[in-house]
Amino acid sequence: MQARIAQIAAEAKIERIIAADEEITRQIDWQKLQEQSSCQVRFSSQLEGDAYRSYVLAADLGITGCKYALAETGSVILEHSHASQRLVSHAPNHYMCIVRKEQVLKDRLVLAAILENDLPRPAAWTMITGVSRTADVAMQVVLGMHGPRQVTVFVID
Amino acid sequence: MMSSRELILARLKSASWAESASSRIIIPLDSSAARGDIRTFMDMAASAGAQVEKVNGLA
Repeated sequence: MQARIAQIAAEAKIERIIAADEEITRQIDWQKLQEQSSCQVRFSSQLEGDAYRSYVLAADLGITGCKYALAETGSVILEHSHASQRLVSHAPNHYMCIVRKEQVLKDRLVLAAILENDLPRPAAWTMITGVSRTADVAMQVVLGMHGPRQVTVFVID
Repeated sequence: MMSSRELILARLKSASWAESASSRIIIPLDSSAARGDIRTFMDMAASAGAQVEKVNGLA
């Protein structure tokens, strides 16, 4: 998958990558990816305060794992904490999410029932369904206004 | 006729693993009732505008 990310990064001329510091993202060979694509890669936990915000806002690509995914809507559900902050999936133009097949739930009712019993609760959950899309102004569909313009979902078989 | 929501709730509540639950629905993640279909997930994510790729591993 690291080679595929490098390929996408090269095609889209991606220069900066921000990755949530999670077990699944740490398994990617970022060193090799940086050699292959000349991208700069940082984990969210490596940066603090203004340095973190500056890097994320300038990043072209954000990568996270997810807590669950929903077959019903094609959504991914992220659990946010200090190590996995919301900007990683919201700020960069391109967002990638890594989903393990065992994380895919049937529907929102199952998700709600699971989250209700999932203690302790995190700072926030985010449900992401495809690219950011709005038609608030003059009914003109605009992509990427409130989040990523491009979303790539990797499903690990 | 039951709505799809009512039908799903009825199925969840009547599942064998839910018998011991009181007023709360407790769903073990390894239950087949909780599992979603991978193909459906990939199709729905793609229809929402995501590029979806199946990979064999992280390497």
